[in-house]
Amino acid sequence: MKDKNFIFDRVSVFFGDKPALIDVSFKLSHPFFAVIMGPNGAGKTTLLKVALGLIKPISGKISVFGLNPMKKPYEVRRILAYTPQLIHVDESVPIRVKEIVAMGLLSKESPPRIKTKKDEKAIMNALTLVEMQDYADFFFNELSGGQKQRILIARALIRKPYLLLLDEPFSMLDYETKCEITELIYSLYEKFNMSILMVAHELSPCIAYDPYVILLNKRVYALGTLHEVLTEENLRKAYPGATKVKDLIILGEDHG
Amino acid sequence: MDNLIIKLIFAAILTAVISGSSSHLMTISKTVMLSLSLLHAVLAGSLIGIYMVHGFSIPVPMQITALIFTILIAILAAELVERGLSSDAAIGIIAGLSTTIIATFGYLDATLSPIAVSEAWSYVAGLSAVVRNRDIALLTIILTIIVPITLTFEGEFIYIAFDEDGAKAMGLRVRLYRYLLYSLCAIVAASLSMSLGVFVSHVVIVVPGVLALKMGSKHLHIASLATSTLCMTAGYITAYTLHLPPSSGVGIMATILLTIAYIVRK
Repeated sequence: MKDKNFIFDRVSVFFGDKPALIDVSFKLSHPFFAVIMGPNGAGKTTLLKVALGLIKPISGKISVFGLNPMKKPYEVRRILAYTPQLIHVDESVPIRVKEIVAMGLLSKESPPRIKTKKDEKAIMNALTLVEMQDYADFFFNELSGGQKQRILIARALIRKPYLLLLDEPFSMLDYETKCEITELIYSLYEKFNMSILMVAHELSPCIAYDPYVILLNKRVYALGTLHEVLTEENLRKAYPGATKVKDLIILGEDHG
Repeated sequence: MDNLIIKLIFAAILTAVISGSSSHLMTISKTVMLSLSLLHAVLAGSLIGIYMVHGFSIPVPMQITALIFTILIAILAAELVERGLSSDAAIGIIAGLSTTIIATFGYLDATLSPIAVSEAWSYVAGLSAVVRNRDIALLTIILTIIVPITLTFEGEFIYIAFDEDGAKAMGLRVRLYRYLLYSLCAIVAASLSMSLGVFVSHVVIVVPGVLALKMGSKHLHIASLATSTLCMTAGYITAYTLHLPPSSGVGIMATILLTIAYIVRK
């Protein structure tokens, strides 16, 4: 990788006449551990999809380690990995854990995508990294929420990406599992020098890891460390429904 | 054994493999309703085929015209979905388009050749027990197209059904796979209509896949194939024994199998 920068430069996205992102700018240098925080409808998932070249902005420039995802989407998707929100995965489809992870690897090849012994070893290694090696033959819908999230992360890991994009990895998990998943994600950043960009509604499971935070509600309202971003002033701007109750701030979900 | 019976058995096996190779994929990828709607397109294509033969003297077999027309309609549905329309709406549009063509060409064909329309009706209704060599040849060609496609791309089709966004993010060309899957549905719908008629094809498209999933089989492809083979062969034997058209026999057997499966595995 020659260019180590992940850049959004005044990126705007509209769906019809409704803005999803307005003049979003930030620059992150590899390796980074960053979280995009914001209310529902803030454009967090849209931002990830723009980075993957799945949604086209109406203006602005994006550079994913020197590559433009609009011009070279397939090259960009080779160096990024993405885990979607669990609610966007169809759990009624009877698919085994090892098949899910295999597709992470085989999708880099051209069809026909046939697993080799080397691939099977790589699949088991990826499952071992997320401590799910004993579940290879399980169907996805037989797993718990945290286990499902681990499998989606294993699918991403097997691709050996420079950057892992995670969309709401904490959704539908209890607090303890959220912390375990955060620990796993942070270990990837530490051990493998993998950049992490995740979307999250709450930062409490991440506090110990001091992530770089992008506070987003269509616009970027603040960038920096937790302490720099999570100020009352910033939160009130990004969460127009925020309410202060004695020394506490309750974050509303108004889109503004 | 009489020649007709041999042909019937052969047709039953070919149809079983076509249905069994694809039914589980249609069920998993939620394209069953699309496939059923494509049966309207088969009927529309058949009527266009009759008009081409009798109106313009273009000697293309009705089955070929129906097959090509059905594939085109399937590609239209895929494109509509790719352009952001919901699958339901796309199915509604192609069903509406097909029924409009059925009404229009049904009328035009009747003015040209009432006998041809009656033949077409017999074909789509599955009333004929006659299996011609040409039908066997066409089914064989279709089978050699369908089986390699399903075996090669089964993983991708299932994967896209599981996580379409994730598949796109991994670089799978989801648009092309949608075209391929929808075209596969079209080929299956047209080929099943060829041997069983449009009506019973509704059942045959759905039952093997649903049964394979219902039985919770680890090998869905094999379970789907086994179910469709059982359904077809037993159906053809039933039809021969009871002096019914093959479509009736297959429909009866499919219903019995489905009922048994739901009683055994509630």
